[in-house]
Amino acid sequence: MKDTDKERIIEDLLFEAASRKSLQAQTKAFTLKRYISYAVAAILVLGIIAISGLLNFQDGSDLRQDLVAKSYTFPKISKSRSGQINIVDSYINELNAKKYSLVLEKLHNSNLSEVDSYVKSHLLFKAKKYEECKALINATEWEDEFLESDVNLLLVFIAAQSGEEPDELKKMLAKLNDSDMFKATEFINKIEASK
Amino acid sequence: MYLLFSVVKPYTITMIDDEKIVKYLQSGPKEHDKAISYLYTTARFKAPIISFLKMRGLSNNETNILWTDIIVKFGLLVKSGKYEHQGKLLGYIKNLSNYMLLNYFRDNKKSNHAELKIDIVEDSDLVTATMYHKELKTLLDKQLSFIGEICKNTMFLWAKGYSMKEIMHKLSFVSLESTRKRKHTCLKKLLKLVEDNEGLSKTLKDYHNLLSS
Repeated sequence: MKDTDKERIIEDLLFEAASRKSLQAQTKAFTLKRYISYAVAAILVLGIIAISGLLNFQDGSDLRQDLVAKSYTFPKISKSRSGQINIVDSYINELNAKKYSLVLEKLHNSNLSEVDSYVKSHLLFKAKKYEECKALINATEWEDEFLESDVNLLLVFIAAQSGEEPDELKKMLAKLNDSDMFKATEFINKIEASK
Repeated sequence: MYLLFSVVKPYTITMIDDEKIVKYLQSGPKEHDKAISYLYTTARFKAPIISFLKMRGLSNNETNILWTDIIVKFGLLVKSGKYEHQGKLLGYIKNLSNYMLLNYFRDNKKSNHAELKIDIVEDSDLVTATMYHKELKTLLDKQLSFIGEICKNTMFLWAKGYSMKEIMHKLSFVSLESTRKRKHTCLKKLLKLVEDNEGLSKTLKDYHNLLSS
């Protein structure tokens, strides 16, 4: 075999080896790009899941607010016939006219009667001052069972608004009378059904 | 979104028709690389051959190695004028794959290759091109590991058809003269190693005899 023949064969073999090397390099780069694409796609999917999860949470929160709005009614307040002096008695017309913030301003006094506290609790609830509302309800010594049941129903609504689970809400029904118990149970069932 | 598109963009491959593939394979090194890369990744060529190799019991790794060798061999056959395009490129690659697979089974003693029942279209160029493929590839790869990385890259670029000027720029050599000298020295070194290696030297002679017959 002549040297030129040998050189030609070696050149062909080198040509093949070089082509093989460039294809292998390309495969590595291709694989890397594919992994990057997978990573980007995975990040996007996770992002979408996170956003949709957040939206679902907001939807759940909105749904509960809707359910509370449908279940809650501001009580009809009439002038007290007992001898007890209530501040709210002077603002019955304003309450009927739904001037709630005005009446709430008048109830800043700390010496409130039970009825005043009851009305103030509802006014705070209407004003979405849930923490103040809870504090007032818990600080008041309720003697009237009807009022006590009604404000405890408010506590159920507040707890529901803050995302409390139905099982926890059910534990709050002990102080409710039959009528409020019915309302509360119906309300909790609706939350469970919405899940 | 931009990031996703910028990552996905490299996958978009422009369609190249068969005639152009052959034309590119016969052209300079850049066009040649573009064409073999296209052949290597395009499903129209890759899918049927990969499936054929796997059906014959090759593992993923073996299939990838053989598929690379088939494309590389085809590139050389076209460059050296052994392939005449008559509109049957895929058919030709399939036939080449048959020969490569037969040799692969014989070389690796995987099974009696006569029992493979592969429909081969007789082609003397393919017989010679694929014979001794594994021996020559393995033995040369071993010798290349002895000449150093710079020499190896010089040899690769020279064999692929890059000009001395292009090799000089690619490998950052100081002058054309030093590039020529380097190529000459490296080739001499490699030929000496080939000469000294009994196995490779003998296989080269056998291969040469086969080509001449």
